[in-house]
This record gives sequence, structure tokens and C-alpha cells, in this order.
Amino acid sequence: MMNLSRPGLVLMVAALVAVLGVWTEAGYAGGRPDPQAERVARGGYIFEAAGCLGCHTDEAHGGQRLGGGRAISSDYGTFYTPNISPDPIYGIGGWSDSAFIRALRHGVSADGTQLLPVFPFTAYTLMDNQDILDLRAYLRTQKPVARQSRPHDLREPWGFRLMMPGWRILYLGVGPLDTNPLRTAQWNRGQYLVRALGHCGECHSPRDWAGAIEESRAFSGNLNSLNGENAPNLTPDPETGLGRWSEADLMLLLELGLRPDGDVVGGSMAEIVRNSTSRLTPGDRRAIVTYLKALPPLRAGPVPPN
Amino acid sequence: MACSPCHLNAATGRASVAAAMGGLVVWAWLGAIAAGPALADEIAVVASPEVVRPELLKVIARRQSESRRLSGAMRVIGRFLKGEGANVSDVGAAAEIIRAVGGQFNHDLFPEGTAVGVGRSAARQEVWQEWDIFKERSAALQTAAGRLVTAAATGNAEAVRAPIVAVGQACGSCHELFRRRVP
Repeated sequence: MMNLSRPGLVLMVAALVAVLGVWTEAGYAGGRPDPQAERVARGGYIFEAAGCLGCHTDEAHGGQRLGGGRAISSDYGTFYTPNISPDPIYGIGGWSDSAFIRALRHGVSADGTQLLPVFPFTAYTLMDNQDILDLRAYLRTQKPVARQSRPHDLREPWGFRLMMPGWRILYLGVGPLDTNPLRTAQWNRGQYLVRALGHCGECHSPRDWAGAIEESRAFSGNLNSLNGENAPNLTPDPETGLGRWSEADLMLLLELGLRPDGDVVGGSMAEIVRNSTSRLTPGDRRAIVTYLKALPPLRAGPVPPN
Repeated sequence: MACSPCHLNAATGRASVAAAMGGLVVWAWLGAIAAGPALADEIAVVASPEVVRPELLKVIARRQSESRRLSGAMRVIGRFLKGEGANVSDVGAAAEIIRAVGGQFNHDLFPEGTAVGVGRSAARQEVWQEWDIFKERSAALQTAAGRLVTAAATGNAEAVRAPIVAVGQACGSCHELFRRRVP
């Protein structure tokens, strides 16, 4: 061990104090990044990219942010989205981080309730653990809403949840999403944004009789998507898909909702643009476009005139 | 199990084989029921012809031709953003059109009785049910278009970016709530 003279020791202690002083001062003054605040900020971005706000807020009836209660009509009946605010009783404030991960990764609620795939856990399962935890950190900072979640009004209130364990075995490809080393970083980022966070295929893919996305025809559109809307074919098929759209056209759609014909999208996609795609970084929008342009072109039925 | 129609605490996080088999059995009988007719939140109800006054059909046609002027102007703005030939003064001219059309979103162009189901109307009932919001949003379009006119007059290509975004948002906010969703 090194022998230190007394002045040397004093000097070392003084230096240590000085370093600590600078460190704590900077830490508290905000000069040094606060890791928790960074996580919340990253989680806020994930929240927007994953489009959580729209479904979990009953905006049309003045519902509070993340208080749930929005009605979503489908072939299976009407779903009412749950409260995901941090309220410990009515929201998910009492959930552990692992319960939150399980809900997104496996589609099972903290109390063991089988979640139905109208909640897109088949997409969120592909998320990175870190992104899920950052999202959780962000949700914790939101305002609690003391509002009980409303039960769904389904045509088969008992059966759908009972069949979920089998359904998940057949249809849930548990994530996270693997990086494809043969593709560029931009394509991989796009795949993550489209498949995991953006869950675009939930509306833009046909579904089979069990309500699962037909993987072989993924992103080829769905004429009868949620709320009866037509979700167009996103693959680059020139006749029925986006094959004639340039990358710049797609960028404008994601940023402004503006189509090449000068129309501005309405319905659910207007909401997605407002809450999600317009808030992404231009780089992330570019990644989405790269991924969509590289999809295999699939023909779909004729898209009705807008 | 403690049940409500929404919460069945029947299964644990990891699906056991038994639960899976049970699920599949239930699933089988559900299959036939599940493949039912579509539920649309708005299905066009075609009004009987004698109810529709011809002047209303004319208004709808005029409204749609005004909408086409809007989308024509937006197409110019899109070409500017994509660098496909339109310049800042073209954007200014387009903004003038948008402002002018936005000023017509009133009862003359949207009279009662011209909702979805009448002629080729794409205007949802919400236009009249939420008339104040409709007016608020069309006013927002006019304001945004006015700012774009001003910005374009400076000739600065950077200055028009933000007002263009505001115009796009105004278009989308109205279409989201007030335009027919089911094609």
C-alpha cells in the first residue's frame, strides 16, 4: 500500500470533498441528469409511440386522462377500456413492476384476469423490458383517477376469457422482438415501432375467426376493423396498397395526416396522427416508412372510395 | 371463482395444460357464435326520397366542391413540403383558399338535414349535435390559414413550417370527429 505524507493525505481529502461538492451541487442544480427524470421522459415517449392515451381516455365524454371508459365496438360486442391511471384502487397504481411487465408481455392482469386481445398485448409483448419499465415510470407520474373501470358488454361474457389460455398458446408469440442482423438499424427500429409500439397491424391486418391476426396477410388491411372502420392495406402493393406512395408521401401522412391527394385523414387515424405519429422524432417516422416500404406486397380487396 | 362479466379470476399467469384444454373446448362452441355480422358505429340510413329536398342535395354538392378546393390547396402544400415544385408563394395562394373556404363552415353550407344518408353526404350527425365544437374547429382552421398567409408573405420557407402543421392539425381535428368514418 502506498505511504502517504500528511500533506498528501490532506490534499487528497480536500480533492475528494471538492469533487463530491461539485457532484452534489451539479446533481441538485440539474446540471447532471437525474436518472429517474430521464426514465420518465423516455417513458413518456414510449407512451406516445405506443398510443396508450387514445384508448384509455374517454375523450368524447369528457373523461379524465387515462381514466378509461372509452367504448370500442367490435364483432364481439362493446369493450370499455380500463383505468390505467396510478390510482391504487381503481387504476394500476397498486401493481408491481413485474405485474405490469406480465400484463404487456403475457396478457394477464395483476389479479390473474385474462386480458382480451382488444388490448394489443400481442404487439406489446414484443417490447424491450427497459421500455416497459420506463413506460411504467411515466405512468406513475400521471394523475390518479378515482373511477371504476366499466365491465365490457360482450356477446359471450363468459366464454371469451375462458378461452384465452388456449388462445395465447396458439397465437401469442411472446417477445421481446429480436433484432434482424441482416437488416439495417433503421429497418429494425421501424419494425419495433410498427410491430411492438405502434401496433399498426392490430387494425391494418385481417383477423381470423378466433380474432387473431392472420400473420400471412399481416398489414394487408381490414375492411371491418374496430368501430367498423376501413383500415387500408399498408403493404407496397401498387393497386391496393401503398405501392404508389413515395417515402415523402408516407412521411407527410405520419406527420400531418396529409394524403397525396390533398385529403387529410379522419376517423381513428386522425387520432393516431394527433396522439402518436406526429409526436415521434422525424428519425422514427423515417424508420416506420423504411419498414413499411420493405414489407412484402400483398393484394387485398378493392379499397372503397374515401 | 369471483366473477363479474368482466373479471374472471379463473386462471393464473402461466396457462396450465388443463386450462388450455378447457379454453379450447369453450372456444370450439364459441367459434360459431363469434363469426357474426359487423357492428358499425354508424350505418348510413338512407332517407326516403320524398323527404330529401332538392335544394339540400345542391348544398351537399356545393359543400363537396368546396372540400375539393380545400384538398386541392392542401395538395399544393404537400408538394411544397416534398420539394415537388411548389414554392412559398404557391403556399400563400393555397392558404388564401383554405382561409376562404374555412370561413364558409356555417349553416349555409351545413344546413340541418344534410347528414350522412342524405345524397352523398359525409357529414356526421355530430356536426349539428356538437355545433359549438364544429364552429370552434372551423375557426381554428381559419386562424391557422391566416397565419400561413402571413408567414408565406415573408417568402421564408422555414417560417411556413409551423403554420402548415397547424393547418393540417385543424383539418384532422375536424375530420376525426365530424366526417363519416365508414366508407
